Amino acid sequence: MSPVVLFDAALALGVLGCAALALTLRDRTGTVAAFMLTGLLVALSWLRLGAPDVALAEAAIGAGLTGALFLRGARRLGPLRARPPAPAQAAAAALGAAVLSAALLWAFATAPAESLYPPRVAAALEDSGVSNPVTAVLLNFRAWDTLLEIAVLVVALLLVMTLSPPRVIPDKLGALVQPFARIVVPVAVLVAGHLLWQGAEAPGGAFQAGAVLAGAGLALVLGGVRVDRRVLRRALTALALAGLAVFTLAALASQAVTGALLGYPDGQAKAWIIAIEGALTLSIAATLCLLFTGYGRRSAR
Amino acid sequence: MTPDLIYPAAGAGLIGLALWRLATCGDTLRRIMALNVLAVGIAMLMLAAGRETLMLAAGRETSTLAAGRDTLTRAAGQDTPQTAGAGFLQAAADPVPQAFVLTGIVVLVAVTAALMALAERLGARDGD
Amino acid sequence: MSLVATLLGTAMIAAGVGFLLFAALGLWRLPDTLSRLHALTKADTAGLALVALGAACLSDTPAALLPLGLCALLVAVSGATIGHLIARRLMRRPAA
Repeated sequence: MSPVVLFDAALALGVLGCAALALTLRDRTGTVAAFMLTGLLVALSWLRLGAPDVALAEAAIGAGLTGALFLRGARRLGPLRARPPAPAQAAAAALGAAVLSAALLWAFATAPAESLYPPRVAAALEDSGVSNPVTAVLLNFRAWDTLLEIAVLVVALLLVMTLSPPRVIPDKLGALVQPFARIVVPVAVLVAGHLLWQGAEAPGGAFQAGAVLAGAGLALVLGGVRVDRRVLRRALTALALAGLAVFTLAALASQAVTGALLGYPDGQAKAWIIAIEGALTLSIAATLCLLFTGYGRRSAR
Repeated sequence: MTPDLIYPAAGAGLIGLALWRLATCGDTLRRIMALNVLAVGIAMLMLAAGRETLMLAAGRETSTLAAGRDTLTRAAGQDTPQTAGAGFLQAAADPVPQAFVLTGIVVLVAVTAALMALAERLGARDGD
Repeated sequence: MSLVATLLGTAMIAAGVGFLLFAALGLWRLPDTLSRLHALTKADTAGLALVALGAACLSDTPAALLPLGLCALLVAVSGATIGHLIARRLMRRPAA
């Protein structure tokens, strides 16, 4: 057995073990820590599966931001109170889940592998304006899906606005937090710009850049930055909605110019993609920040 | 078990684990977390399947990053840059499932935020 | 790439991994939070810096130095801050 296979097996076991801990520990903080660890290990395993774009997004969003959301919820929801299920129910559920897992794996192992997309993506990549195939799929070949995805983000934001969970007011965190933010935030902004720009030919793009930027925003919020809260939140909301607006306008403009919705004019695809991605980065960052900090008038720590 | 099935097995295991927890646990936070784990398991299966199809396109024996990129960039008439550590990083996966999974991750965090807001609202009503 | 750089890089990565292993061991075996924190922050920062240095020796291009340096810097800064926050919390609430 080669060392690489051993590494893969250890990593897969680590992922499963951490997920099991996340879903069974009774201590809330421990649960969230195990969940974030699962996210990081999953990102590593996706790197091994040849998907660095997705690994970046999972590390930043799946492990980082979702973990932050869970931590907020863990504090607000209080300790675990649920009763354990009846043994018969637990056993039946375990049996059902195990059978389903085994069936999935069996289907995966026996299904005929057919290579449909890669040759077509490779053939069309030259005209897409970018050389990172994932960015080409996201913002050119299937830009429609991405437009609707941004719409989903806006809907989630509207829902959070309506529910108005208490705003996040950070504890006083002591002397080191401000120097931390002073170093990390500028670096995060630079990294986000780099990720956005290199997304055209290497792993990266609007989602990863937006997530990093949102992380910087959370560092500022938790560091207790003093800004006029109402003005700031209005600006962020406007920014969050602007992404969808720009994307929709671009779709309509491309319809007017080329006769195809989100079919970019010949030779200008890269400019269109970078413009849309720039707007999306800022809007995704603002949306993710607002989803975390909340809208409510009441406040809680 | 063959090495190709390690990650699919992990994905299937995550799905089973998440479904088991969804069926047996009544706690809201845990159920939302189980939903996240379920999504990760499905994404893992999709990415593993995507790698399989790309290997098929590239020819079974060429399984390095350079060779994987090569398949995608050769048609585009570009040179493939030599990457350090190419033996460790696997062939680039099929970009279409990658794009799906990327979309899924972003939608999932939005859904999680909305669900947490709902749960906190419900918790406030139930509790105090 | 010269043989010296390869050897040096491999040795540094091995040393870094050793540091990280000891940090994990300390986290597992040490009795209370403060001593665990002691093991974690110091060994973690040094271990990752060593791994980054080793990787820099192994890389062919000078361009790889920037992200590696950034990684080490970010881990050092966040490690110090988080260590401070945990310790501060502990001091405020000695009962917990």
